[in-house]
Amino acid sequence: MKQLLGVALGILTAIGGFLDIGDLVTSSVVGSRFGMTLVWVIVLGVIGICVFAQMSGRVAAISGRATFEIVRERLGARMAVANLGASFLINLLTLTAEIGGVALALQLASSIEPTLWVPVAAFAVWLVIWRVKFSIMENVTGLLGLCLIVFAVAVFLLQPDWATLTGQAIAPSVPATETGATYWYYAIALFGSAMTPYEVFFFSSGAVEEKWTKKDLTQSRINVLVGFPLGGILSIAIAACATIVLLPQGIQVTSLSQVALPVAEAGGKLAVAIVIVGMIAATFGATLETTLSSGYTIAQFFGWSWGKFRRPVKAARFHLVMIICLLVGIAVLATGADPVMITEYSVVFSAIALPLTYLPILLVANDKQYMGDLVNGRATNAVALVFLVIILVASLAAIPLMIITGAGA
Amino acid sequence: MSCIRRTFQRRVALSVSVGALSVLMLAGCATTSGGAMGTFSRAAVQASSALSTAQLTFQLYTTDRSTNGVTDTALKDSLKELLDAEQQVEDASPQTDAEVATQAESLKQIRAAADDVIAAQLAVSGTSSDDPTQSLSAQDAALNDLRQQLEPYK
Amino acid sequence: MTPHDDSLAPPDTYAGQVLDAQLHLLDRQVLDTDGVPVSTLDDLEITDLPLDVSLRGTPAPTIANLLTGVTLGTRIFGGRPPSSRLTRIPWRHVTDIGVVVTLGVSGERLDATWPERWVRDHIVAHIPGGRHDPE
Repeated sequence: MKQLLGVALGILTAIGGFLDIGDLVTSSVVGSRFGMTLVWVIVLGVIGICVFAQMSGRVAAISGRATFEIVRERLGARMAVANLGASFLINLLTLTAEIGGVALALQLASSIEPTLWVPVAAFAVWLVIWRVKFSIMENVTGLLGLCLIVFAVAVFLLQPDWATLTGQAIAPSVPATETGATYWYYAIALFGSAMTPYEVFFFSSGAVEEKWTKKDLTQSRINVLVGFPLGGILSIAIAACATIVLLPQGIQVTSLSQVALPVAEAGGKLAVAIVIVGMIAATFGATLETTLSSGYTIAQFFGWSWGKFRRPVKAARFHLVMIICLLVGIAVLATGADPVMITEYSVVFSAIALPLTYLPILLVANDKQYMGDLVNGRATNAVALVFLVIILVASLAAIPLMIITGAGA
Repeated sequence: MSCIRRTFQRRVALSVSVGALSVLMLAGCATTSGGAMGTFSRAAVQASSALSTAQLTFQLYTTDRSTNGVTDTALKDSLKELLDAEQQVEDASPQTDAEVATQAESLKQIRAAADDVIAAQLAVSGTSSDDPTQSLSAQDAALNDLRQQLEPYK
Repeated sequence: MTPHDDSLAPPDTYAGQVLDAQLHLLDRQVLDTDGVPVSTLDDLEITDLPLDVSLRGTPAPTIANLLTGVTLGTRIFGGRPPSSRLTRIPWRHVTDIGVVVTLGVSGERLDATWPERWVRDHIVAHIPGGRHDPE
């Protein structure tokens, strides 16, 4: 019974923790502009993150090594420092977007300007990292994040024309109002939002934090293989809500408030209240994860003591890095930069950076010195190689498409 | 030997940063393509989307389906988008008489839209008892026309 | 060829083992005797060969110290720090080489961890709650 509860809790937190500001914004933007024609990318991204997260979790559980230790050991100091630079900066960009997301969600709850919420949100994040146990932190934000299921309920309440919706999703084509280049640009953005690299830093370091062993592998596999696809369905539901309500009225999503409007239309005040709680939990949880990831990457590269399972004094530089990153995030947002804009850039840059972490993990997952008998099976490697190609293509195409489309304008 | 290598590395670093800079500049240029008419066309799309948002927001508010926080925020965001569109139209430099006329027309419509959003904000805050529903939908139709008229220049 | 971290063989059987410095040592994590991370193995210092002497008959150089700190910067960007600036961990402290390099001493007293101690004593320890376990 207790074990069953553990499994259920793991799955629920995986669903609730799957979405972040990147998914909320990108899915909604895509739904409002392209309808359901890009849903296939969400499906692809979810399969990718399942393969990738499961692999990095297994590497961490068997070898006890987190992602960035492996990156350095495999690529050597010089390549690893370039990798660290890119991964760290993109993670910092994502961190900034997530704090901004918390502030925007709090604005929806309170009407108070997001610039005033930013320092409050960042302080709360720091306090949780400083004082709250890893498992409690994960479970609370994950469970509250489940409130976003309202998006899926809203789709049914809106009573859409199911044939049109599924037709768009199954036989996608570029809408007449958009160009092929913007279509593919948003395809990459959506892919990047589903497969953000920080999830992998976080997932593998989290496995070390929670002291996973071989025994925990089944549980983690269930969490990933059940939780993430269900999280992906929520992402599709967000796109569907925007498709049903916003697209016909010519509304292009440029702010988080617009993301909530279809839910209001479908379910009224109560649904709005629940969705706001979900948005706050999802963005807050993602801020925690990106902040920890910034500490993980740097500490693991330099071989410092790290981890929330240690007291802050036992991992001093790790905690200092995270404090500095939060301050940088506050400073960037204090300039008045639009968090939604930062989010849109962060998901595309995430797609660009994906090969940097994906490749080393794939190599180590096949290395007997680290993995013993639990190296990748043939099926996993076949899927992983297909995704390697997809990731490389997306990464290489992102910048040219960004130039051609003027960042999706 | 190490000196040569270092110059090489510096050259690589330099070309990478030049590359990154030109990417940013090109991305900036791409949004200003299509001349003044292109700018007006994009501004019309942006303004039309913003006003439709305001209209939907106000309708959800009057039917008691949305909370005050979401209503306030969505109206504020719409107004911000409209002011941004207005700024872009103001900043464009029209070359021909037709472009000057389009600029004037765009500004008129966008400013009227902004007035309507402000009227909606006043109605929500209880400062004004006028119902902006009618003018919101009329202005939405007008902006839609403008958007369609400028569609070919996008 | 490949040492496993679970099998610490007696020293004399090491005679036949070959470790590739680049592959098995450099950039590996260094843990202290309690499993606490100390640093990464940024570089190795090997003993000098005598100058102006025929190499025939001179014993092969041996690893004297593990290096960390500034040496990482010079390894990446080139150049060589003066010997006095190197942060050393004596090779004799090493007890095991596997996926990680394990030391037989506590990291607390090593030179390599002074930045950690500095940050701890001057910043982190002053923030309330820093000395407690998370709840």
